[in-house]
Amino acid sequence: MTNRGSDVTAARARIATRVERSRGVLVVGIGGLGCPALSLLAKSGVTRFTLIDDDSVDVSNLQRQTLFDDADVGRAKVEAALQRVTQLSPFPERVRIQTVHDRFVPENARGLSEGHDVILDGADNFATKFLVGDAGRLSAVPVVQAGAVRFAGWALGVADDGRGPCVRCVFEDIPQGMPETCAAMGVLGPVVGVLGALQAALALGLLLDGPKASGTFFSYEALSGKLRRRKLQRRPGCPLCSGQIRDLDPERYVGACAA
Amino acid sequence: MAITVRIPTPLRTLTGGADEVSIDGSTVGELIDNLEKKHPGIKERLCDEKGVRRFVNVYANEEDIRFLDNLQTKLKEGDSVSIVPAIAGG
Repeated sequence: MTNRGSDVTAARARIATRVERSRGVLVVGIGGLGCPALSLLAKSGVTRFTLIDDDSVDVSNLQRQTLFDDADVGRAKVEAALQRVTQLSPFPERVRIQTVHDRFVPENARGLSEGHDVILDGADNFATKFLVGDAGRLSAVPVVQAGAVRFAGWALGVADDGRGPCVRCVFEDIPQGMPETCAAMGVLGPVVGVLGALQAALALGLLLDGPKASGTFFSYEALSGKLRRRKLQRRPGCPLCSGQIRDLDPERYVGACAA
Repeated sequence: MAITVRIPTPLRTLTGGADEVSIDGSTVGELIDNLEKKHPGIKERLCDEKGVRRFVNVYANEEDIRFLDNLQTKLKEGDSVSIVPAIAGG
């Protein structure tokens, strides 16, 4: 196909120029959600990324972690992703990627978050998801969050205007006693594909159009083929939106599902 | 008064695999009590002694019951209730 659409080409150039004013997109976790999101963002013209993940590619990841193939097994995910994303970009010579082979933890979260246009949450546990949400708010960086298990999941864009609603307005606390909600249950490839693509679209919306892409909670159910959207409200008493959370106290991010 | 209740994947082991069940109830609280009678064990997954668990969302006709009347939220024939638990994988 030769006609790629001049408006889309222009949008990709605009995206590249936009992210080159800053650190671009921080992707926390290069797994089932992070892979499709990263691939689509790169192909859409995002040239600046920080990638953080402490894991290596395992053969069991390949069915859903679409950036990787057999040759990557055993490699650090951030290194394999760096190479692949550079190949995927329409502007390979402009790609600048910082890789961090580590966990996203309270001690490094603020320093990693600050200066990015968007943070994309591809973490596989709730403790890290809450940490991503809190770090984004405290660093005034918009956040796109999602979660998925088995055949279902959710996604949410949070603007950087400090007005919420945020993930803590939806899920008030780290789930306890509901092991089916954890990453250990596995997830079907297309489920994270849909939600990762939705995260990429929300991230581009936040980048180009600001808070309009925030405040809607999406839930997706693959087996029944249903994608629902619900307008969110800021929850009175939300500790993040009401300003009670002012730092990233490690005690707050101890979770039943921590992987 | 039949209400359609959408059951999330993690709780379908308690509904024999059904993704939707039809349950009577004039409030969300009554509906959950009736749901428990038909599918024992489900109430404990949804509620604690203070009400709906903090990591579970219940929507009455797509409205979060936190912003309505919580468990006292009134329901009428033909309404739908969705249960959306926190899901952490990625």
